[in-house]
Amino acid sequence: MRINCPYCGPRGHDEFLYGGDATRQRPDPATPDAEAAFCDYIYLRDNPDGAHRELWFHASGCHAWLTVERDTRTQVIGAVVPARSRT
Amino acid sequence: MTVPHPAGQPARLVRSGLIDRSQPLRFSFDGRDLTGYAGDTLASALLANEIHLVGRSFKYHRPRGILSAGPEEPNALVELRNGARREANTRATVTELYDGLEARSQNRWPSLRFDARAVNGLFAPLLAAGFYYKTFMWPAAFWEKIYEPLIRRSAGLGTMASAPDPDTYEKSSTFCDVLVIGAGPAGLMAALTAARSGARVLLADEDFRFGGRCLSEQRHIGDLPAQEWTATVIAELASNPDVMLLPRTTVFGSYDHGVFAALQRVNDHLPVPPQFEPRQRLWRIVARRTVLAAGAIERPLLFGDNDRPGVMLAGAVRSFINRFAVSPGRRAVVFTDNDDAWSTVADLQAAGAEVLAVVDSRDGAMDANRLRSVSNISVRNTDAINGVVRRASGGRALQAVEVVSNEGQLQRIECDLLAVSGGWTPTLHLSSYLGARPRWDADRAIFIPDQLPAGMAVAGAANGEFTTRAALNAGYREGQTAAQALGLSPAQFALPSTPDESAARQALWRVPNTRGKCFVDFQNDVTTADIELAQREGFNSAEHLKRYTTLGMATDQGKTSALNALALLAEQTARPIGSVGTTTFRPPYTPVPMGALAGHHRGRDFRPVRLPPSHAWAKEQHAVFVETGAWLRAQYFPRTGESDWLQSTIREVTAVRSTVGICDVSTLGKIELQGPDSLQFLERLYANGWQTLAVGRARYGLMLREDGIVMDDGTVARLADQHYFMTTTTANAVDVYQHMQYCHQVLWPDLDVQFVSVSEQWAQFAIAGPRARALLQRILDPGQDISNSTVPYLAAANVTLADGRRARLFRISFSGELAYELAVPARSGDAVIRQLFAAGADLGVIAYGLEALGVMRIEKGHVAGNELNGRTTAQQLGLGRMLSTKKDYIGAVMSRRASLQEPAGPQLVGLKPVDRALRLASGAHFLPVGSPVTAANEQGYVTSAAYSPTLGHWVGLGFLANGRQRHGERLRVCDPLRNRETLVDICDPVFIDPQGERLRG
Amino acid sequence: MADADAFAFTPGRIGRLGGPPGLVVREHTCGLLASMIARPGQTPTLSAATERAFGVPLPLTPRFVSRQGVSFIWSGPGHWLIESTSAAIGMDGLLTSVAGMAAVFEQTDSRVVLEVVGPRVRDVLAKGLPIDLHPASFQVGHVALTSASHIGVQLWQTAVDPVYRIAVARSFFTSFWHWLATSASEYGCAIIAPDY
Repeated sequence: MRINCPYCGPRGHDEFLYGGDATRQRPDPATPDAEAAFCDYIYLRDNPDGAHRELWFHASGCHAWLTVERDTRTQVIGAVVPARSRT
Repeated sequence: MTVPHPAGQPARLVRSGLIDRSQPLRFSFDGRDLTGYAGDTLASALLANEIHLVGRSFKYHRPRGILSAGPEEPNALVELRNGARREANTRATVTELYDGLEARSQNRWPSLRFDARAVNGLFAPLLAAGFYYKTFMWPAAFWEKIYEPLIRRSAGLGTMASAPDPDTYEKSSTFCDVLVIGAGPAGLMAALTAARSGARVLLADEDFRFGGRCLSEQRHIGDLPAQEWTATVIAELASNPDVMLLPRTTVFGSYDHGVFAALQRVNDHLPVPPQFEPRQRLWRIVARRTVLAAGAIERPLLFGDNDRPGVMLAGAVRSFINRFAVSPGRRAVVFTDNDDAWSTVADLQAAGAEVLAVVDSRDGAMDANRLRSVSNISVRNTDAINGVVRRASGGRALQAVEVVSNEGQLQRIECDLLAVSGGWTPTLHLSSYLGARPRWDADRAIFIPDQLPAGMAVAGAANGEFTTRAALNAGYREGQTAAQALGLSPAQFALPSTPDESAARQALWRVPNTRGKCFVDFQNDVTTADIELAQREGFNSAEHLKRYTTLGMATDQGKTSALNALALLAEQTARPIGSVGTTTFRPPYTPVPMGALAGHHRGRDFRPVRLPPSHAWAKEQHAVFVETGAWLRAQYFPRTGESDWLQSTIREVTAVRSTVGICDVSTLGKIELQGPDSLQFLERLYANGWQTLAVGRARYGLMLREDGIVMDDGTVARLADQHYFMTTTTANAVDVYQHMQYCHQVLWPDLDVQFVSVSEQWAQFAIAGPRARALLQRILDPGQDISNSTVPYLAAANVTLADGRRARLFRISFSGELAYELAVPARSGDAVIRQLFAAGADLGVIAYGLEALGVMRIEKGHVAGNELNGRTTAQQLGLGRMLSTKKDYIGAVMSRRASLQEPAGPQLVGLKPVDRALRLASGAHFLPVGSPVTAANEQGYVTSAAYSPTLGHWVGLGFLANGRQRHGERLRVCDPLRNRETLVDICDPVFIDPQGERLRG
Repeated sequence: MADADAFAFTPGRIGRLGGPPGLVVREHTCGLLASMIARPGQTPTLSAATERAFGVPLPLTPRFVSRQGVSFIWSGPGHWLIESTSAAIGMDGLLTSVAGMAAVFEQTDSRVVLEVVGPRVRDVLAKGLPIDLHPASFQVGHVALTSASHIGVQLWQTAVDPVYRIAVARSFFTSFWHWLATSASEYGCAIIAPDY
């Protein structure tokens, strides 16, 4: 598998570390239900068949955390953008 | 007539072929000295010497010969080379002959000609499909002691070398625009077209000579014989600097996004690789486009005793004649269900063999007009029989075949060679490794590639385009398509005019009413009867059939047998073959040696090793080293007269506690942070607070994971207002840095903080012991004040050494003694540790290693990797008070979970044996005195244990339920693994200097 | 590879001895190495500052720029490795030039930098580096952060010949060198004196 790092260009997946679901948002610790929200954030994962947005860390390269659109069924990789730019 | 060859190779042809008669090569088979020529394979050289019996079969030990001339070979597996280079199960058909080659037959005892275990054939009913599962089931206790060793002894194929492989292997990466797999007519044309279009081309072929079937067929391409045409194309490709040619290279795996793995047999064709050269090279190929032109593999026909030596694939017969100048028989019969095999007749005749009959199973096959139209075959002196071969007879060599005509007439023809062809199977494996299933083509009765991986095209026989003309056209087509896709202008040129042969076939999946064993999978001794039995027992799916019968397993992976088996299964279950489907194709295409997969990474290069700055010095001190993660660290420094690690460690600990010792702690992760938000970032990263940390001070820090479990610990020093220096544990340095990048880039990108690892910039030495200050003072600039008031416990300061070097000094103690960590630029590390020892000789300075470090931290009750094991909380570690309640940080919410606050939960305690002479071991469990040793009574476990030289007995740390309330209690620690039980007293985890007077002194 | 085993990184020849060496390697010594990280939103100003102070704007993609012995080598988004071959600049001068716009961390001792050249240099590097160094993909001025035989490296091309520089973390150097020497021994490898 090859991931097109927006900084370094296409590189083999073994240069990257997998960081899991990119759609998770760290909950607000100040809310009354923070513990439940954190449980969900930490432990519960979807296992989508198809389109997935996930985090990869370019460990052997530029040290950027990236958001990668990957189809878990076909392995087709769509947009790869720096995680810091996500909305 | 075959003219006996002067070099004593009776079946060698005098003319033609792609062998070099000026280069005779000596080799031996089962100890017999023989000769062949450069350009031979072991198989062709054996045939040249009229050796047809080369092995015994897996289960029944039946005599076996050479079936094929390529990688699909199921029978001719030999043991090659000797000693440490011995390799089992080498296919003679792809083994390039070299001078001095030594080969032995395998799976026979006492000899190849007489194999005692051939009696297995008499017990065939016991050895039918699934016999493992049926025969060796009961009694269950017999499996490990009796059945398995018995099976292993009798059923194995070759013998492995037992010494380490003396050769070297390596890996390499390469990139190309167009990867062409296979250098037959389709592949050569695809490569030529792509190269002429300006693409970077990589052409790989598993054979040692490019050309594919062009090397083996008497055909013309344009005005040139196919062999010569091949040479001109290769010459053009070789002259192009952007074309890489990799012969002897098998592309064995395909992976996502155009990544391929290939094995190059760089020096397998030599007895020993030349000095400095690898034996094999594993390639990772990244290709923008790929043309799969891997050709096709011919199938044998299924009839009685079809495995006799002398039964050979028709295409292989032509290869041996045309390419290797060997006549594989003198009196031949050809048996086919297709037109392609008819060309074998002319080739055999040209080689001087007598072709006694062509047996063609197809109705109308013998029509004279049709024969003229499909080929120029002269069937003079040859009996053309419309019918089938029902059975082959002979033992160690073929003697005759029983032919039944379609009219029912039976005749026996004495012969020594039977050329068989059941048509060709496209070699589509690489198109299927990413999960695509091939499609059944009912017209041609073959599976062909269907949905292809992105960027891949298939050309030639691999795509069912079987004739030379079709292959050339397909190569041109896919070469152009690839160029187009790359944005190049595809080269246009006229293809050489090539007559089209006929590939017509009418499938004969099996000969009916056979007698004798009818083998489908030669390598695994799977017969038509086994497949029928498996189906009767309910194994109706192709995948189940494979597992139950072992069909398609082992080195050939069913290359000659898979489709025949599927056809039989389809017939028996009355389904079309297409709906039976294939088994899943998985890499590797052919066997890959483990050595090649390891490459450079074995022995001391198994993985990269990091050396701390004092390594060379420590080596001079005869340190014993230990691998800790990637680092090689000094474990202890033995002195003359010390017999084991414990003696050395006791001396080192005692010296540190009484004088002064030095330990290289450069392996700690070191990270520097700057920026206005660096304090804020640390606040969120660590569980404890940093607001009150003054410039010039350091503090212990505890980092949690988001789930509330402790991740790491270390210290943070404030070097300037917005400049911090933090350390991590050696083990977690990489993970913590990556975690910080995650926190900064993903969680809080708005924080204005800049940080970078400076682990490699600094050599850091712990200088510990009552005389640490005295020693340090001697190497510092004389004006540098390090008195207790200027540099108190937990101070951080920039200092200058006496020789002018700049350094950082941290008053930090892991040992519990008065201690400093001195950081100097890494290149100065070696010089500085030498200075320290030179300066401290009269102070009794010693070097201490990881063992002593570990003992002292246990004596001091400091937690380390054994306690920070990824399952423990701050409360359990006795560090609960560090958790800030005034801020958000990673792990804050989850660390407050009720289940992690449980007062009766495990808590860190110390322990010492009641009988002070006894030793303790980590991993043992706490149990109350008098209760049975059961999991239900377990109350915790011991994490660390060491002999304390300071106290004169063993001490330990562990987690005990409600442990902090239980100091003074007496418990048992039970160690069922070592079968030990010790009575212990529970105590505070800090065994030495609980008030910390020493480290503040 | 007994030759490489016995080898310490000193001038000499290892591997195949006949003919010209396939790889020529020497240590490139740096007067100063430093990591520079731009503060958020400061990259344009920072680039203008380096142009003023050192005559070169910062590369914003995997490239490096050099002028009068000072190089700015891209090391990730908003991150550069600064290399000074002479006493052209020191940490203090650097800090003054970029103050308020970037953080600078001294790294002079953190890496060993090798300069490699020779007719087989690409074949040698291909044995460990999983990136394409063909001139169609990688040219003078280009930089790559990647790994060589599982060891992190930073590589940049300084001349068309080609000449590459490779920076390796100091603690990994022995392992790295063992890999490089082993990989080059097939073609013959000459080690020449450092360039100071």
